[in-house]
Amino acid sequence: MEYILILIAAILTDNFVFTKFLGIEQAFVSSEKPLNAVWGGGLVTGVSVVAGGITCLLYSFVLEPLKISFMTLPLGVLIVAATVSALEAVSAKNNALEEVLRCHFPMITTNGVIMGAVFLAIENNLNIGASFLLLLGAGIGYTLAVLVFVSVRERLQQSNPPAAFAGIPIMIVAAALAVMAFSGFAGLRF
Amino acid sequence: MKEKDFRENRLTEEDINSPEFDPEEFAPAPGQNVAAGVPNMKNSLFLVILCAACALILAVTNVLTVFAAEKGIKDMRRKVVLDLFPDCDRAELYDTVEGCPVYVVYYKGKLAGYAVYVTEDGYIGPVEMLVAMDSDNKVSQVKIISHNESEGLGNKICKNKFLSQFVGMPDEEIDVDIISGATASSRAVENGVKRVLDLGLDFLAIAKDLDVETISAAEIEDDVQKDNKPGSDTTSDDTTRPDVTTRPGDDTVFGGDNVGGSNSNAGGGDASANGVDGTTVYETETEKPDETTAEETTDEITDAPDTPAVTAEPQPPVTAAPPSTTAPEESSKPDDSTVPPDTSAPEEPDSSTPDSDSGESGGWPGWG
Amino acid sequence: MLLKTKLKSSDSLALFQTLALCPALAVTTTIFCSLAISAALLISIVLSAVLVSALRKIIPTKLRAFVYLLLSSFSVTMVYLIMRAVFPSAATALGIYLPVLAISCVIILRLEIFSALNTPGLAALDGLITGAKFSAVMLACGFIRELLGRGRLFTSPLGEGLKIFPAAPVSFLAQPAGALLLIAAAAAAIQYMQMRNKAKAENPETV
Repeated sequence: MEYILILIAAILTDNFVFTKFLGIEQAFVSSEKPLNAVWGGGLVTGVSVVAGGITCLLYSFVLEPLKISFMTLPLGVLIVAATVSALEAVSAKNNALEEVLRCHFPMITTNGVIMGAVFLAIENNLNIGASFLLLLGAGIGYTLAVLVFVSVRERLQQSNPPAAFAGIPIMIVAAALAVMAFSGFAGLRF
Repeated sequence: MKEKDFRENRLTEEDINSPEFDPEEFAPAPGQNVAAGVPNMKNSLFLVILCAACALILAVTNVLTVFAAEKGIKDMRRKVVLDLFPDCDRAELYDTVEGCPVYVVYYKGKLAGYAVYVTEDGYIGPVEMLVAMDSDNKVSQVKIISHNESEGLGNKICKNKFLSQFVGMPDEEIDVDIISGATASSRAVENGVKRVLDLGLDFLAIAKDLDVETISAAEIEDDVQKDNKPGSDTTSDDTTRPDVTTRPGDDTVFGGDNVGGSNSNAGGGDASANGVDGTTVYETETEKPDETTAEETTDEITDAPDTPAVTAEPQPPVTAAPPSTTAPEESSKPDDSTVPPDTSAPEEPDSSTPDSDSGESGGWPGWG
Repeated sequence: MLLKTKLKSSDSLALFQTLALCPALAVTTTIFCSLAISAALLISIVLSAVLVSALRKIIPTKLRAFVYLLLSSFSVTMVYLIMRAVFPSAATALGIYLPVLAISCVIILRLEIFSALNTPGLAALDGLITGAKFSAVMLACGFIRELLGRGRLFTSPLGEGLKIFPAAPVSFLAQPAGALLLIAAAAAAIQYMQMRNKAKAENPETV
């Protein structure tokens, strides 16, 4: 039960994008089509679970026992980057796949969701299972956020805001409204 | 390295500032991805050496700073404990019994009480609390360090009215008045207190183990009153205070809040947007009969009865209410105290007012 | 490969940079937290800029993204280690937002477009200016959010700070979304000024 709660919390109530603003920039600008957004979100979820999971494992079984946990950040960042590179190399073999995923790769390394989830797991002393679920939830939550933002942007293109708000300001306002909407999940009870 | 190679595929400032910036141009063509290339031995070696150099420098820095950092953490934790014993001047980690850290507090070098940190499962997540015990092995105060219980119901366990009923246990076998609608949360606190009582800790045994003199709560009260007579309440100097204070929110140094909780704070850091946030640290002042008095009284904290460790009976509100706006006066802390000043009395007002900005997400970052 | 993002419009990059500030903005509920995150950002951006520009001649082009990431996370960890020792409550207050700074586009973008092409002195200056810009925004944000969102000023681990208003006038600002709206309002104000100046330049008589 606790594990399910962690998953749901990471997706809805403590969504990394909406409540912590991690990866909000990527979520906002990376995609313009819902299908594309799902691909990007799935990619982040995959990298989050694989690379984040490796980092968490490294932390619990190597870095923490050796008292060199300060290396978590550099190692974690490099593991994420290496995973992305490996995925890129794999996808390069398949033209159709690469066409879809190409535009998403650059943004994953600088996506705060993955490292945020890793450090949240470390900070809360989650065990390995819970850490993996948190990472999975973070990825799914990110996908959800990308979908929300894609829809918001689609709608924004048809809108006619005041001249001063046109462009960036209205997009940030829209993001703020999405954030507020998501804060409603804080009332979720089980 | 050739200039052309150096600039290859590189984003420049001009690109970004140019109004005709077309990022499409800069997206790597299929099959030409830089990262997808075959690993080059020389390049990999460079990265490995750089990694090693970074690790080495960080390790040296870590060794240089780890002592100060550990001291900082310990000071923060002791500070939280000391908040429960307002007159006492020193808190130390005594032992960890069945996974519960036990802290002992001293008044002028004499053992005055102890506090046990305990975690129980609440309705949503763990409820972390600190149970202060006085010299008679009775509960003198219960403080919720962090919780994730539901807003409006579960977080009532932080209210004085609820927590004060534990004061005096186990002598006063009371029926714990469970908050309706927050049964699981209330039970968590009750179980936590009971667990502390079941640990079988004994004040005199601890004193014997540590080989220190003891002082009872009543004696502290007398002593504080005696000390207060000559000087005025406001003369105690703030300058000797240590720099180890914490925000109210930092009380979560004992452990981070549970990410699974629905009330986990969003903003991180001091970002408790609403004071009644899930991880808000509340304090119960056992003698404080009315929460509203806390906001009005500011200077009287130092009066003698400010020893919640001692008295379970309600005191006049003026003497017991913590200040809500100014730094507390600490004349109760004897200036001629013989203990080292670095762990002296708490400096920060505990915000017991519900609107206090004491929420905190995240405990001590464990990544360094 | 790291930054060659496929953005559809030139608007996107500006938006991207604005939003890149957001993780840091989430912490700026008080001036204390703003100061802490600003100091962390400033020091780590200057440190990583100097390192990257010192190594710029020997960084393999193909691995430069890895090197940037490594050096920026190195700088941030360095800042964390020092902050943890000197001011533990600040390090605690920043929580997960400090490590996340390492992969923030604010730092990585400067490394790619400036530090890697210039001498360490220039890179340090550039880092200082960039960091100062973001710090100014964060401090202003922290000031407004603390004053209006909480009715207090200078709340910190050292004390409750000054009570300016009896109750928080706009308590919404203390919420995460409040920071976003604040930034949106600021961006709109800047845009409005620009528009007015432009109109003035084009049509000096009427304005």
